[in-house]
Amino acid sequence: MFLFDFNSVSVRIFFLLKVFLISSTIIFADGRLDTTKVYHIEEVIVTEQYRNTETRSSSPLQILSSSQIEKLNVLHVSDAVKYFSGVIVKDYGGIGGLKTVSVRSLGAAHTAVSYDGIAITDCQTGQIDIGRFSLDNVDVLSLHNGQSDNIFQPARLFASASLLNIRTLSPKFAEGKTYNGKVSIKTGSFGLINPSLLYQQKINKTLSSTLSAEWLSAHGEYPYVLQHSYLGDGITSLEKRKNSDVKNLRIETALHAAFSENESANLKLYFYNSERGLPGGTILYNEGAFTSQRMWDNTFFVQSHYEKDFSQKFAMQINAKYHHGFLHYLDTVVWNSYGYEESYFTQNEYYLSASALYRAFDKLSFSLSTDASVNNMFARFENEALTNEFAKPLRYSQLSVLAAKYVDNNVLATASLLSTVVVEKVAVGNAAPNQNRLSPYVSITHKPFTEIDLRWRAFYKNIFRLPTFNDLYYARIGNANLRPENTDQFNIGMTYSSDFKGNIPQISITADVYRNNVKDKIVAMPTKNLFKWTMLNLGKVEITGIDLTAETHMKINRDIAIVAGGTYTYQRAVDVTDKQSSTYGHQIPYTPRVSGSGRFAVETSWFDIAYSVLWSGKRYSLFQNYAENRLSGYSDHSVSASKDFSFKDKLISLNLEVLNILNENYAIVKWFPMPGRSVRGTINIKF
Amino acid sequence: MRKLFKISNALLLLLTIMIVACDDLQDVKRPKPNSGVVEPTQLFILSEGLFNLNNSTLAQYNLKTQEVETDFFLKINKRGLGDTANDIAIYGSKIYVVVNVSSQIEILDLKTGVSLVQISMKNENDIAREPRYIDFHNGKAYVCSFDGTVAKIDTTSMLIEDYVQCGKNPDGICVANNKLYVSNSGGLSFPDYDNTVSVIDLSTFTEIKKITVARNPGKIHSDSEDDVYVITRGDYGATPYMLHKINSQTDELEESFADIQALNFTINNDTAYIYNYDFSTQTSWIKVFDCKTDKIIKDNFITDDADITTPYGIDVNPFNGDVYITDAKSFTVWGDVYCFNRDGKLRFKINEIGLNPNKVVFASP
Repeated sequence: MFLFDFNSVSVRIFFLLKVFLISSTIIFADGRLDTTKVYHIEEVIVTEQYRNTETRSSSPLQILSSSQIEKLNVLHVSDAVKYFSGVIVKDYGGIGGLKTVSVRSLGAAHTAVSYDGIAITDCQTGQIDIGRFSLDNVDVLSLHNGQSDNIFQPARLFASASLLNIRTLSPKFAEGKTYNGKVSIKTGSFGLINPSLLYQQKINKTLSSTLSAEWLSAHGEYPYVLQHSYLGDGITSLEKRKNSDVKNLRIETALHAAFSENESANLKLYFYNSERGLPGGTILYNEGAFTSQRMWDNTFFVQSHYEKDFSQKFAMQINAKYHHGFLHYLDTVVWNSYGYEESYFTQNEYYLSASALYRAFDKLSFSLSTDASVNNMFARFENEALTNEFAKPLRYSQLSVLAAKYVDNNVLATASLLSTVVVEKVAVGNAAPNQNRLSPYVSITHKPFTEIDLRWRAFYKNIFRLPTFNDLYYARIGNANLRPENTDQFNIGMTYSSDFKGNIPQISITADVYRNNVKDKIVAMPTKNLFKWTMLNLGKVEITGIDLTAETHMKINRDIAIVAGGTYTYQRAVDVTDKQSSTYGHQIPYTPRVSGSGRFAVETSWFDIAYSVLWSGKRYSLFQNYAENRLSGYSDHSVSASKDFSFKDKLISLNLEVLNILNENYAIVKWFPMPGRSVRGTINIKF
Repeated sequence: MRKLFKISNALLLLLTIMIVACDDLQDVKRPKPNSGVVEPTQLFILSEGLFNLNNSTLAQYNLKTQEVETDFFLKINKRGLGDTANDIAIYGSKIYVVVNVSSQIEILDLKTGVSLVQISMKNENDIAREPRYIDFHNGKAYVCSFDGTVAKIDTTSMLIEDYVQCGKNPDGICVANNKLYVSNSGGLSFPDYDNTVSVIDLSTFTEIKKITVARNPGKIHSDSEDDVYVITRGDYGATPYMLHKINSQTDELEESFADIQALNFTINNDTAYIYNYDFSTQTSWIKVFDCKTDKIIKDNFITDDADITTPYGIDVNPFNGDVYITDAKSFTVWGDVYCFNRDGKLRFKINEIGLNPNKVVFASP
């Protein structure tokens, strides 16, 4: 009777309960007419706490809402993502440094990133630099292992081992207001200046628009202690990180249309432009190394979404996107015949997706989704021979998914089958072979007791990732015969959430045990010529792990509340490629055995204090777990204080953060030091 | 409230246990190398590590006492050698280590291993020269660098005295007939490699000629007759490797041995030990070549079943003629060193001595 379709990504889940009392005749068995009075009930909107979505999901789901993100003392999406369990963010340091996310040790190319429901693709590197995404207009960040329980979504979102969703604020206007605005200025150590503007306008009953603009610049010259021994116990010196500056500009605008309860659409434009120095790894005794490498990049995309509920049984959505990416790399100190090295890379993506949802029965619905995309890439180098040799790849992909979902009071189960067809063409050289694959997925969660909010869950997913354009075609290094990397994921877990009344804290806990197998892992192998590496399908990795998350919310009294949470990850990710090899059984590079995060905040009517910590056990920078390759574990503690107050009917908030309180110059990637202690201050004005 | 405390205490305890007890990731210990061979030789094995990892090491192995120190330099000097140590040589009472990416030369005292001086190889604009190889003549050391220069260093004062400009990206240097022969590889400009060998007169320390050989010249050595042999590496693809001979009286290319497609070699007492490693097939061969007759005298140097995966360095112990070949394996794991006698019989193997071992030099202990 109640038909609902919940989007598990939203912070607030709107259940539209339409109660229809059948106003026509209800005939009793004895033929008398029932003259029961007819009542019409107003639409009721029920807002549900996000955390219940996490415990109800049939595959692990972690959500960070904007209010939680505020208490994490973070600047970019990449910093916030570090607080998810099972995640390794490879952070090359600095405000503008590259940051990619690998989930459950599968590798960054297996994590899909979607922005407002549509995937962002980078066919050149296969990895999305999430350090580029600002948190300024982000409403929710969520991480799915496997895939989402929402089967009504583009096929692309079924096609990765994990999915990181970035959802931006959509316009919501309070009674009587036709606009919302927020001006924010952030400033901090190492020359950080970060002003931003967010403006939402209600145009009429149907249309509203948003504008989000942001500028960020920092000189990034942070001091750090340099160890002169790779074992970490030798002579040290105090150095300054050079060529670590960044300047970027982001402008986003969107038009939202709510035609009716059943029909809506939106159109978004996103523009990002940045210039940054590439500081490279510190080279002992040659501090000037890499101080001449610079990078400029532009990203522009336009995407639109249209959705309509044709009836209670049938709904449809269409998504379309055009993406243009441009990267310019320059090194002015190279001992080649030109005296410099320069590359220009351009990528384009044309994407169209259509999905249909058929709510066949009360508890069972089916969806069919199909995506078509065309990706191409162009390159130009300082050396004309290299430019002429460049493959200029063109990739046609067609993804189709057939999915089913069963929901009743105790059980939620989904299953899907993804078909991937890829045809690749190149202008020069050999193209990668075409692909035609089927990838299945099943998941289930069950709540055995009605009184206790305790559930168990399990999922299995088989999915692969295509070799990137760099893997296949990079000058002299690429290997066009590479096979896709294949993964199998098995997960079993339990979730518990309490809903006690009164002063007893609300708690939610999730615990998952998983096993992932990676086959045909694409590995770069160096050759004698330092600048020549080659790509091979070399590896087999076996990953066994445990992910734990816990969250609690306690109201001490009318004025004070405590919010706390933590994650813990145990990962045994070992190489099992060749029993005779000296790397067999060793933990793969840059993967700690244990890691976790914690957050603790006190919210009062007068001020808020927040504390957050990230910690990691030891890791190794190469394939053998030898002491010489070891990177010690670290902990990064941050604390902040903030105060809100009203001034002339504007809401002003002040926030002061101290990051990395213990001033640890740890490194996530060996020889790329992270900044030590620093401060950041923010003023927000909401009107 | 009590329930709250009980729950929070339990959680805190659990958390502490998890953080402290569960990092069961341990360093894997390598077994100590044991050659089983006792003789009065001291080996110094240089391993270059991997680019950008600052992990070059210098191992010391005393075959008389069987004592091994995997990073002798680190132990004595409390700091690493730096990034990509490319060449090492013993001259007089000192060890010279050329560190390419850290752009410096370390001069160590042979007896104690203490670094006497760290010569930073930067030009007047403070840009790294990137030194590659070293050779010696009459108390002077000559170092060629990727910036196209050769530096002349006095081995007593340990100061740089002069520079001379050669061709593009020198990647090999040797002394013959009172001249320096420098391979101009042009490797950093690939695919536009250089194809010349610069000749530098040591009395005037100026470049007097460029001899055209073939693309991408590399290792270069001279024999007792002052003939200069050089290997050109082509483009690691269609153009094959090749061995060439230069006459140092005429400074002309005398012969190109089209059927000797070797990647690297060393010469001792007019016998050259040469090897080939094919990156696409990952196969290799090792042969012996006589510099006086200019002929291959052994088609397969190794006479027993030692199986070297990726030969990377080849050196001869001048005291007894043993041939040492390093094995870099997959370039990302610790490599081995094999010691053969001059008849190609394996004497001993040193397992996992360093990451990409590239050269072995010898001293009496």
